Amino acid sequence: MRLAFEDVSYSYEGGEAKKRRGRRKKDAARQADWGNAPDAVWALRDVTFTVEPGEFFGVAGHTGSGKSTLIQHMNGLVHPTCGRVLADGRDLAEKGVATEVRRQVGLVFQYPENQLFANTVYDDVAFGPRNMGLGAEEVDRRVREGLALVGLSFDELAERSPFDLSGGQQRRVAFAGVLAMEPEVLVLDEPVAGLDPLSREEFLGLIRELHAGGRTIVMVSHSMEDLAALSDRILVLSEGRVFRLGTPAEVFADAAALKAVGLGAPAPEAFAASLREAGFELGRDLYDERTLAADIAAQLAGTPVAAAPDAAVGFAALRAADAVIEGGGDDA
Amino acid sequence: MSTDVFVDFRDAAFTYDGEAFVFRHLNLTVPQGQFLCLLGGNGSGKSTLAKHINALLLPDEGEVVVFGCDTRDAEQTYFIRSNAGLVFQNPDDQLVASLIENDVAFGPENLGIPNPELRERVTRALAEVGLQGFEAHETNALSGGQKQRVAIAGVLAMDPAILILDEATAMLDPRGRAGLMRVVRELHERGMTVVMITHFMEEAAAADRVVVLDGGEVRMDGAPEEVLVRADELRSLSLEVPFACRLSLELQAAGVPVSTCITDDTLKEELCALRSKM
Repeated sequence: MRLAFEDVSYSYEGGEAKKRRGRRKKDAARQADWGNAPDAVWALRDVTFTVEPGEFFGVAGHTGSGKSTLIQHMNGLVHPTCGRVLADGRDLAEKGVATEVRRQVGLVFQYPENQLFANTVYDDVAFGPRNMGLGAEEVDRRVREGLALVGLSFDELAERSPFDLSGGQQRRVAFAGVLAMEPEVLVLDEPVAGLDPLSREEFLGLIRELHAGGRTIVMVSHSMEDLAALSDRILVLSEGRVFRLGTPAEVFADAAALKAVGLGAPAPEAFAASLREAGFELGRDLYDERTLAADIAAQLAGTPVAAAPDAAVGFAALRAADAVIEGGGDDA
Repeated sequence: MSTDVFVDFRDAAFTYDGEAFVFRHLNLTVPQGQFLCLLGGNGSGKSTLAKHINALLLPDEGEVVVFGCDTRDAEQTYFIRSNAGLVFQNPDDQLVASLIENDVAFGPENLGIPNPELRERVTRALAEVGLQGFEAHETNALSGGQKQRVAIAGVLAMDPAILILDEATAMLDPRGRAGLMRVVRELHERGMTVVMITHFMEEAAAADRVVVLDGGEVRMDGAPEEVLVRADELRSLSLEVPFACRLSLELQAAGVPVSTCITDDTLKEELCALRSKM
């Protein structure tokens, strides 16, 4: 599924009724109503981007930058005050569309374990599929598959109370509940916040696997390291606007600008930047620990550092290749 | 100047259910003025240990002595609690009033502190956490980092002798975390004894002493420079290794003669020194 944001603006102000009235008007009229209100506070402002099918899309931003409001638009929990959100070309604000799209876009909120409620793990995971009106057999299959995907044993845990499990296990149960609805797109708000380092690594591995299995992932995170390691592209929000959108290398190239909006660069990149200030020549676009150590060693040994950036990999490479093909087509 | 032992776990044991011990035969002392950082994976017993310091939990075996008082002595509970301030993880769980000044005043007011001293304490505590002038603001309009600072101010207004932070930075963004750490370091420099539980190695690097718990046992204990460089051991205890340490090890493997550093600044200094010798 392709999720497209077109000039999305959102304001928490104003009654629902006013917003509904506004929605019937043409965009220009709505903009006139809302866009010029001198004291309107905008959670999102003129946000445009597209999440491509199969992409790993990272979202970064300082607290209050609009990240959570943004992802609530992705399955129609809230609708834009101005602009549109399109799922495969269909406007989520149209009647009935959001209800349908919600089955394909699974949203996992921050600290999802706080939303567990059922008496048994089974019932908790089955809640979504049952609400979709699926038969008992299909529900059973999905519960088993959901638990298997997050690495929990059906036989050991299905009949246990979710509240007797450890924090990490509870979060896995909550994940399984969303996965049991078999969404194409998985939207994760700070999925590893509050976990210890080992559980973090396990969870990030799980998310990587879910992506490798063909799902589109949208991940909000404060960890620039995680975003750099996993994302095909990263959207940086600042005060509700798109501040940067690009590959990790493009986004983290300007550490000073990121710092100005309250974000850091990933640790290796930040360290490389501080060494550059001290006179080191470090030419790569995006460093990890190993490449950074290798380039520093080469510098100190007196060998020139290869300035050529690594070839783009993964999704970014695919897009680059596509662009070449499309460009070539035009020439012909 | 002699320093007193503020916290003393003497062969202490604790169990929630009467069967599985969270810790057993635990011995740990915290002298006055120390900044101690407790590390450990989920379920290692860190939070349970912290709750013993202000007598929220009592040991089943052995004893815990705080400010020279046995925590099981009910007559001392009030004295211990008014001097050992605990700040928890979730900022939304620990604010009780709608205005900042009322929230900060809640603790000292319950201690029976009269005006004008009460007002002075609130003003001073807010200044200490960098929120001077925010007295009349509403607590619900604050960011997570600001809420945690209000929670700390509420503890400071009780004039405690020891500050215990149980993953107080876990739910904050990088900027909020850095702000809170600055406040804690300043308090420590002015003499506050601090026990801090965290998952963040950069925070541990700022402490005087690092203790690593695993399965209720003290597995590592020493200065950050000694503990945080033991990469393999830390990983085996499901803990992270600080970035500077990881990069130092990579550099050593690549033949660069650097020592194993725990902060970016020391590593950068060493590298610049090497470069200037070229």
